[in-house]
Amino acid sequence: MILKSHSIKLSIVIGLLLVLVFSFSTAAWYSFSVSEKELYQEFEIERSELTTKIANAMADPIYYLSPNNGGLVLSLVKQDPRIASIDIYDIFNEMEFINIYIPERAVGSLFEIKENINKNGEIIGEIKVLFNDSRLRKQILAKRDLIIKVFAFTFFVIIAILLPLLHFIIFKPLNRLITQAGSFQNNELKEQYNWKGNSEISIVGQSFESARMAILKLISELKASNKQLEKIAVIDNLTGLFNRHKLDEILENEKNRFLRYGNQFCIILLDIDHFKQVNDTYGHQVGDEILTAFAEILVKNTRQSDVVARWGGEEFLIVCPESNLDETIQLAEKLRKTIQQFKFPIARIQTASFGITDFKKADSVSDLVSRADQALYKAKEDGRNKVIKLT
Amino acid sequence: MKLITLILSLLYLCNIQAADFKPVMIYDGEEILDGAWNEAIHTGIKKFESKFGILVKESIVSSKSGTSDIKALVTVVNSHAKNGFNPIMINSLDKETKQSIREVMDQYPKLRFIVFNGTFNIPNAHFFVFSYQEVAFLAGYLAAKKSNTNQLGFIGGMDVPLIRNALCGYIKGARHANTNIDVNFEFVSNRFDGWSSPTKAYALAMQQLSNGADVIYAPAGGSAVGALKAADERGALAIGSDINQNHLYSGSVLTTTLINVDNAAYRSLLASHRNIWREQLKIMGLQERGVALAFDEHNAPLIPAHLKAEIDQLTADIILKRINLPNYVFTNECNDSNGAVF
Repeated sequence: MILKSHSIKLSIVIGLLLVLVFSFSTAAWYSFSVSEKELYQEFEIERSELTTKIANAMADPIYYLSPNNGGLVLSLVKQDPRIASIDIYDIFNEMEFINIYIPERAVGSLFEIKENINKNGEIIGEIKVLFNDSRLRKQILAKRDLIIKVFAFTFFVIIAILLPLLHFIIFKPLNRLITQAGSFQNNELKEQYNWKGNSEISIVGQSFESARMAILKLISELKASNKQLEKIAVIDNLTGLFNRHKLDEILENEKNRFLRYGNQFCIILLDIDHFKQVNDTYGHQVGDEILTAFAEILVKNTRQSDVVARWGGEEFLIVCPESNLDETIQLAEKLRKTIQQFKFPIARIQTASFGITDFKKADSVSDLVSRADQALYKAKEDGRNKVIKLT
Repeated sequence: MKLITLILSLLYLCNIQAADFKPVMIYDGEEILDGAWNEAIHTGIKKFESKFGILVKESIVSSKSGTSDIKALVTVVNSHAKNGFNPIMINSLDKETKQSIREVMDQYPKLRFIVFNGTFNIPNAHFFVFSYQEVAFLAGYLAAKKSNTNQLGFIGGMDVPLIRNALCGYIKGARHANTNIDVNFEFVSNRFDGWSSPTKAYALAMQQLSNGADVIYAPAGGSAVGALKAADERGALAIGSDINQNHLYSGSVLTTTLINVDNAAYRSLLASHRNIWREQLKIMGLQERGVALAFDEHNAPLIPAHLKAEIDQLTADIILKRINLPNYVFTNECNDSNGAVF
């Protein structure tokens, strides 16, 4: 499995940006439309108010036949960049009264406002004012500019706050977690990861860490127990017989049984003759095969209750419970003959020497074994392929 | 605003006791229906007559009478004043006329005098000053734009401040369009017949055309038609004056500098009739539609849209005083950025 380490970060960043951009643009659009609508309404009122103002100011000049008397209002109005043209018609005298047209202002959207000019309740004139939306546009642009600036500022402030937060709270720990998981995956358990705080990621990290610690502990425990196990293993790997450790236990048990119930027992210690030569001549593999064959013979030719164990090297020890010396000697003789007649692989003929002894009340296990060993030694001395007892 | 109301009310208090309404218009020049200035005034008078059913006396001072023009004018004005005509409307005045007429006005303080194109300070006189310089500026600009020879002609009726004012605007406008333009200017006469001598104007125009001018502006009242005719015959362009003359030689009249003195005549009659007198001086410029260039189907082929747009822009510039055009009638000098024009 490959860790796709960018998916969360990428989706958080993209999601965040999408949310911000979407919400901000919606809000900005809304603000635009509201403020623009307001400005348009304001402008509409302004237009008609201004037209009325001019109309009122022009009533007297028309009535008193004095176009020049409109001068003050007109000179103010003429400076107004929103006004593209003013046409005032003297209905009273059927003649044009004022005509102002400023081509450079007749751009953009134009709005014509028409109004009657009244004097003493009588319509004496008509005014047409052509407005452009230059100032409105400027206001809209200024407002838009402001809104965009405010939103952009907020946007960047949010980003500036959120991104470091995300980085330190999520991304960095996530990266660390990913590295940690990666080394976990690659069985690199030596590196230590310290997690502070109790955020979710740190809890996961901590559990990774405690898992790592647990595994390390387990491993060390396993190693120790393996060592222990090796020590206390009961079976000899090569021959499948009990090993010396188990034998010690068995001998101890038999000794206890003897002491408690008086059940006598004997042991046979046997050694393959000239086994060193076999090893030297045919090599250890053949030696191992012969040892295995020996073990098979011993097991096959002993009672169920007898315990055959490998004492070490080419030495075997058989514990014969509930047996006296004679019975044991018979068994040993039987084994000796069987071995002598057995066709061993490659080396063909092999013999063994047997030392026998029985357990005595004052004996320790080592006394017993040592006596059997002496008997075996004597059998070797006597020319091998012999059964010797020592009591 | 308060100040203005105060001044207005003071002016109102200063008003003289109203005399009977018995209006007369005293024309100078040979005829009333001259197809120019006089005819415009006549139109305004007719409008008033038809609307109010009051007859307005129209009288002519001719230079054929043998006496000097000023003397003749003063005589006619004096006799009307003696007969109680009120208001007495007259045309523009040069320096000499001004003084003589002023004496008459002083003599009859209860009568109202209305002067088209002229101004001086006397309480019972009212003045309409037309901003010739503004419309002539536009005409000059248009002429310079249309000229191929860089030479323009100008034929004024008389060498009076009013016509000098038009000339000043004309030259400034022409130079605004083309700094290398030359303007040849001449006057038909130094008497009132300058307003009614198309033949003389024709001869002057022919001479200017021969000298290389290819657009001629003729603010010369009834004489202008002579200049228009000459230009038409020589395939050149001319600019008419006062009332729309575009149709006279359709295709060779570039435009007409309209002086809407008909409205002024109507207004003054109405003001006298209703006895409402406000400011003594009324300045009728582009903004007040006192003056304008005539655009119609006759000169439409001569003026491309972009040129019309430029004229509109210049009109706005003049109204907004971005182009400053003082009236020669008031200042008696014609200066541009390079100093005196003439």
